[in-house]
Amino acid sequence: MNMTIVDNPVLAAYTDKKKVLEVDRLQVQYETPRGAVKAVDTVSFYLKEGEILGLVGESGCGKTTTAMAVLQMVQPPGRIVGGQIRLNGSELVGLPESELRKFRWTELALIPQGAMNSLNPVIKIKEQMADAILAHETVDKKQLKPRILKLFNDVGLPERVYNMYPHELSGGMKQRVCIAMSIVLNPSVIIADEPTSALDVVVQRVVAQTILEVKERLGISMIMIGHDMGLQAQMVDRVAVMYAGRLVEIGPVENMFKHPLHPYTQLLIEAIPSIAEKKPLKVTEGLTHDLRNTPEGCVFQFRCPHLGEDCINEAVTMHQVATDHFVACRHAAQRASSMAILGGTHV
Amino acid sequence: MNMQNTIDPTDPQQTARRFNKWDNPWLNTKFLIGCGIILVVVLFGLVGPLFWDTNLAFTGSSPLNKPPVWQGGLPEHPLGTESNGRDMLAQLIVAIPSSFKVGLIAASVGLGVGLVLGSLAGYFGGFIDAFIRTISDAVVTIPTLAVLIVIAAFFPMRDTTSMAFILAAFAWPGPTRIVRSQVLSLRERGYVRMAVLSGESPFGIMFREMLPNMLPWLAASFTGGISGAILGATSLEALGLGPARIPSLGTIINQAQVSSALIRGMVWWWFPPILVLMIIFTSFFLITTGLDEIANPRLREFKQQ
Amino acid sequence: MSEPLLEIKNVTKVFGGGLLSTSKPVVALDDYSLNIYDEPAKITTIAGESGSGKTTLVNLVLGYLPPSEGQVLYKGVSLQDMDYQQRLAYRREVQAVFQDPYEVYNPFYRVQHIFDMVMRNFHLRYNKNERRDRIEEALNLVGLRGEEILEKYPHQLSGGQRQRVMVARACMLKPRLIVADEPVSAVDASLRAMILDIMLKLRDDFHISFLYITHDLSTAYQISDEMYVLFQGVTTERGNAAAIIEDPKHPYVQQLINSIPVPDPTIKWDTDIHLPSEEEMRMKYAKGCRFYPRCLYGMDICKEKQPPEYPVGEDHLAACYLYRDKQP
Repeated sequence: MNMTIVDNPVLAAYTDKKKVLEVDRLQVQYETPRGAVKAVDTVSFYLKEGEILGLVGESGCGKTTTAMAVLQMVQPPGRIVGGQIRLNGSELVGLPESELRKFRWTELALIPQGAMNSLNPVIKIKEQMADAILAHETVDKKQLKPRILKLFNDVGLPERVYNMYPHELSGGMKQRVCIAMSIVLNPSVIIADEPTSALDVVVQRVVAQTILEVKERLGISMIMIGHDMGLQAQMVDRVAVMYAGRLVEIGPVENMFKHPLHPYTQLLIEAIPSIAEKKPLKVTEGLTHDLRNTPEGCVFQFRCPHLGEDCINEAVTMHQVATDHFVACRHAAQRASSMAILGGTHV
Repeated sequence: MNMQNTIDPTDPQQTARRFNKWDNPWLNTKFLIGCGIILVVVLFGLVGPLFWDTNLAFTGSSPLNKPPVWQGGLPEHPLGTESNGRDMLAQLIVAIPSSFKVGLIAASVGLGVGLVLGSLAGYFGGFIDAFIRTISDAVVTIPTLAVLIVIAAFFPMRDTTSMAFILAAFAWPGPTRIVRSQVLSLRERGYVRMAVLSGESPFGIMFREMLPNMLPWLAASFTGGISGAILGATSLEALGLGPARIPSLGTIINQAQVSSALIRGMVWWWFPPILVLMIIFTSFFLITTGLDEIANPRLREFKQQ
Repeated sequence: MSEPLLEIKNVTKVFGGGLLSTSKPVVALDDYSLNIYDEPAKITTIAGESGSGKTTLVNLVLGYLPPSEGQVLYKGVSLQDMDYQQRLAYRREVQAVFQDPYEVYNPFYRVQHIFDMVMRNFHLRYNKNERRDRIEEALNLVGLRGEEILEKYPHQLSGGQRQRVMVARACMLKPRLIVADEPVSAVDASLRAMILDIMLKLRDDFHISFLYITHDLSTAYQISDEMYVLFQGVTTERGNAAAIIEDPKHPYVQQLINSIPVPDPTIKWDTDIHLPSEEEMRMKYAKGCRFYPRCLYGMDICKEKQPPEYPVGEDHLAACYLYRDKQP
């Protein structure tokens, strides 16, 4: 069943700059003995060329699963049961493994969670880098070293790392090796899954700044998954918020922080502890519902402070409130349009 | 208000736990098949006397050298008889529990000693650990059968129980090492640290906190121990060094060999005990491997839905 | 000023480097001293990153490790010299909550087991009903009910529930001090506030002091009274928590606070910083100030000797030569 882009208002809305990645009504399910869990429930978004899109949400919301789905790396018992994923126009869902390999790492790369721990401890860095290159390209052996050293320069690693083993490096350096490995074939899109989560605050800043530099210089588009809202504010251009497998709001980062529209986004922003001022802690009630019993109506109905009659039963669609800004809540969209702040071309 | 728990589908631990209700790790194929076969064998030996006269296992109780009933023998001795006038079926019925008895005693003593020594070594470390480790490593390197033969030559074993205890002297290093390595790794667990904070004594920690989490490993060690002890006992008996009064699988083999059953073509004499031994060892192997898989989830195959 | 509840006296803790070891010895804490008072009840934060020595501090205070040099004293008695009764009394008054809310449960038993263990070991001789009431009381403190928790296995509870149960367990003995080692790091953002709120309530209503160990200065800012910022086994700055975070004096603390990503997209990190590698930092300047390799204001004297603490404000001290001659 091939639905054209025109049918998806979220994707059709943006036509200016090139879209390197389009996720069109993606659905991923996990089979459990007691029923199917909708890990990703009809999620649509696009990634613009040269931007960083943040993907946030609490654990279990489906952000990592979405990333894995884009890479076509969803492990059983999970599988993609619907939707399309287009990378630079090419459809990825349903491609055989041999075709997918052409895209992976050359067009689409991943910095996985805990990447620093995925480095092989008994192989020197230079060999691991070389392996990554040679797996996808035939390169003259003599060309490898200068190319790798240039990569190190790109990520701010000293040359001596070339001959070292992973355990001799600090956490920040290992993570930068992983970043280097991801850009080795000049991909157009990198998905970074919590790339700085295990690092100290100061090292995190250095690595984050490295990522930003690399992205600028090579013109890479990125999806940055995380739960540290502070880090998101520093790094991304747009933010997509997921809750219980669904996308609840997506918009430019300034709008999302200053005027969050969806009640869940508001909750996330308010829960950020601040060192700018001492404010009383906002205690929130409620847990996410059982993902096997997805409600008919709004997915946030069990925790929403502004619950309305229609929220419980009527299906929710994404409403556009500005150029790049969508929210999955009828009431929030109405409130937004009545606010003069958000015009049609608000940056 | 729906306050159910979340399932994070990307967390393999959580998904695996959900499966446990249906995919109970103890329902491991190898384990169950092995247990089933052993159960059949043991029942054969325990229930057999109710259906067959075990007096026929005594020398001279039956006609000599009769082949099994399908080779022209007597229907009263369906598996045939041997040169000493013993009925094969009766012998097997008596021999099986005898061999198991040795195995169980030796393995139990070995496990008991191993639990105590391994826990002490693993938990307290230092000198106690070095001492216990050195001795157990030394015993492991002793060529068991050779030493047993020497012991048997000088102290003829009158009954299976004393043989079992002598075998136990070689059965304890294995469990000791397993328990020690388990205790070493469990010592660092969060719940052990918590127990320390809750004022639990070292022995309380070892037996209340650690032991239940070691059960599959202990079970695997135990079944391996039974298998090993039966092998050791059978080896001695087959060489004629074991207690000769009550037939066991090894003594049947020994008798067959001494009476040149092989050359005389009396297959029904030397083959049945060997067959039973093969079945026993294979089943214990299945049980132990199955327990390994139960203990270590990484070895389990992921069942596709 | 009353007697300190807990005294860490000139403690040095060295790992590795023994006769048969191939790796260099790592000095986690060097001649470190710290006094913890519990009158009035307050929340003291030990803030530090990895390698700061805070984990070692926790292990020493809870008696899991002995110090290489120096002593850890509880009401004047060294932890190493205690007999069983004294140890039990110590455990009664000093409890802990750890970071990983799953690991601390024995997967073999139901949640009830944890409470039973405490009751049994501290000889709380109640009959069955009194026991249940005591447990219920503790659970209510954290917003839970016995009937929805006790009969379950740990994996059936959420991370937030598990952590709260651990806090309830810690409170059961009505301790004077709870050591909380990164209690909210592994918990979802939306539940963090709840647990921190519980800590504040316990301090205010039940006069329980906390030793809050963390790397996250924002949560420290929300709940701490006092703070010690550790860097490679040395206290760089200490005093009133708000004063330190609002006006950091030590270059390390300044660098730390500047690196915290501000959740406002219009305020970005300003200057760039450069980090020398870890080995360089540890080896070269073992004698002088540990922070020298990364410090923007490094002076010659910093290379020679570890700086002492200088007052930089009311209830605010920094261990940095920059403040040697300045009066607050």
